[in-house]
Amino acid sequence: MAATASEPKKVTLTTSDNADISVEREVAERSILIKNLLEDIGDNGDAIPIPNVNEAVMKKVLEWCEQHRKDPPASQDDDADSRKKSTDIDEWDQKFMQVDQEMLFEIILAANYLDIKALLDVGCKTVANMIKGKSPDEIRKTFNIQNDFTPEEEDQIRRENEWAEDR
Amino acid sequence: MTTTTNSQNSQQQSRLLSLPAELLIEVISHLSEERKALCALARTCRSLQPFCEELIYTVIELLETSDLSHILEAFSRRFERIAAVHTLRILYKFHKGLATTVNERMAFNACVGEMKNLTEWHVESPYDNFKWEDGGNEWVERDMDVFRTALEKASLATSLQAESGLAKLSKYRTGKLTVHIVTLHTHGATSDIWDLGGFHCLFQHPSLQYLHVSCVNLSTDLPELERFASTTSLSTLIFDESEIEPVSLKRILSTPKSLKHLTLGENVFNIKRDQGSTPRLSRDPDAAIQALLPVAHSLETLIHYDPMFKTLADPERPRAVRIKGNGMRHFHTLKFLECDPCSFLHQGIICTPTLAPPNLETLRIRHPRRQPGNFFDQLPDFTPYSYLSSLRTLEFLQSTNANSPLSISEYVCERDRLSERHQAGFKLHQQGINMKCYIEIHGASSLIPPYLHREPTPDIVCLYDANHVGFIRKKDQPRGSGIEWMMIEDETAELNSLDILCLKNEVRRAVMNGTHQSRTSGLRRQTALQFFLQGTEDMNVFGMYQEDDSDEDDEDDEDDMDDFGFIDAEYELFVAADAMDEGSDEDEDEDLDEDEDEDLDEDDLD
Repeated sequence: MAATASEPKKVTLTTSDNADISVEREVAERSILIKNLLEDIGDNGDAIPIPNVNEAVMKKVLEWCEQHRKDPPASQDDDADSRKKSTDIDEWDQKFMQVDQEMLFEIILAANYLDIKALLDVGCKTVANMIKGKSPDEIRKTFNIQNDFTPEEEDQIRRENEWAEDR
Repeated sequence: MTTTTNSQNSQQQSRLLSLPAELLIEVISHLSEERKALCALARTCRSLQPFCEELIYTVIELLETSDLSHILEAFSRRFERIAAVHTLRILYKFHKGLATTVNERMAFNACVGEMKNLTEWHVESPYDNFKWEDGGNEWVERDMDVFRTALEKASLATSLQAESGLAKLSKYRTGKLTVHIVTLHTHGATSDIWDLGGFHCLFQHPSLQYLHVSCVNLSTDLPELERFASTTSLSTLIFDESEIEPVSLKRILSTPKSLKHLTLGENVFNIKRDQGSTPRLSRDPDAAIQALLPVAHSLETLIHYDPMFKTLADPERPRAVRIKGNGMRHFHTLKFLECDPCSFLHQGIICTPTLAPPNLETLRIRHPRRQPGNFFDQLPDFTPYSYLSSLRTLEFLQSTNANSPLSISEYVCERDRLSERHQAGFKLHQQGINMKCYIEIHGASSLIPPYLHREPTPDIVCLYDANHVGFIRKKDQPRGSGIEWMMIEDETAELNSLDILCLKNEVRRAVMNGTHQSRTSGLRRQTALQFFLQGTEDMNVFGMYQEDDSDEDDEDDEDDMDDFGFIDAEYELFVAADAMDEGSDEDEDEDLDEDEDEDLDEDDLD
């Protein structure tokens, strides 16, 4: 009743490492998980536990949400294909994603858990871009992948898929 | 500090590989257009290979028979690759040694039945365009036979049998094609027209939604289809250059539960000299309407390509046709109809408004290729169309081989022609109908449907849209009565010189963009299929003004023009169809019955 329109509503999130983060509700609601939670339990001022995300990652995710707070919600149909086909990332997001690999994958996992489709996309595109233009060896080095093929096997697969390579 | 511990951790485990499978797939899906990256990633380790190959093998486009051995080798090494195929396009190029590839082709064909995730299947015979004499019978008897068997296995007949008794489970076995889209361009063993024969299984297929076939002979009844009335999911059916008899058409149209889009392409161009044109539907209009009745409840768009005009002494004035019964009065969902003035649909239905589909919104009148005269010079009498109470858009479509933006715009927007057109547009506008004129630009005069993989499809471009040109004009008011001068706005059919100049530029730009875009995009084929894939209901939105390039200046236009082979001879390009077709087929219009000949089709080869 007396809730002032001028004061933005805030919610508190409790991360896996027991840190409380206070954030504007509009920003937090970029996460469909949090949005649904708030709708279901109602905003009674209690802190919302986010047991799968630690403070550092949560802060990073909220930084992205803050930047994209006014983005229109992605529509279900038109994005599916066009999004997947490109690995274009806007400039701010590119800078945002300049983090170490540990953090990059944590962001992806958090975006998935918190259900923030656009952030998940940016994360996956960033990884895809790290794969592009590299040889198998370079990819292995980048992502710490153990080669479990014998050199003969690897060469065999190369030859089998060769027909597709230059299409 | 933390970074060091992290990197130590990742020494043991790759963060990428420890992603849950659905996220790993999400990451890799962003590389679906990057074949090189996918192939490199597939070679990094055993756990990534299947995810990558799922995408590498999604689309297989066979352009050369020489690709076959590699793909077969790849299939034999990992069977999962076969199941990964979603889209298969068999588009082998013809070459003299084609006969020697039959074993490899057959080995590949055997895999088609195992592509359990195949949804889109496109087949073009390498012997199309009059090369069947060089071994085409082998294609018909062997390749096509395997394709038929694969389709038959999936047809409802098999599932119905399978459902009885213990065999019930077998219908869930692999090897069953659940394909949604099939395009089939082939020929007979010794002729360009092929008999449907056992391929009636196409019309029994439970999952097939889009079917495009060409040059098929449907002249005999298909009683086999009777059991399958209202059972299939087919929603789009396109025939090109086919011999469609009402009796078989009725059988076919009885099978879908709700067919939405139908193109009845009769044999208009692909005609042997000794046989001449045989309009099978327009000559028997009552039976033709009866054949359409099974889809009356669901049909939304209907297109008819009719050779009737070739058989008439004066195609400009076709005879009236009287249809018995209710005509198309019960086609409540039909919104779009396209035909030429000689079609039974035009003469029997459109010109008899009481028999017309009650909710028809768009009518497109086509001026057939190779018929003298053109709509940009003179529009037909539009009075009959104005009696169609539901009509909102009337479109006139004119074919041409001319492709010079400048000469087209000069011709189309010549002052008298444009004024007359706009007057017609004004009259229709007053009756609540928007008039549009389209041009269909053919890449080469010799190309006829179906437009195969390497053949350019015609570009359809809107060159006049009454609503876009508009009827509100500022009018100068004579000076006097104390007011210096004033402008008033009024609804008028008049166009001033500036309007004409602007329209000329717009038309030129539209032609240029229309032809240029499709030429550069590489997506010239299967407009209807694209619409189907987009799930667009509006089949009639083929071409539009391209206004977004309004800042493009004239200098650029001149530069681009060279790409289209700028032609100086302006007006004669349009005069008559026989003048448009150069050289070899100049004589054909003299005798419409004798018609197109092998010479013409020879040109199709390239």
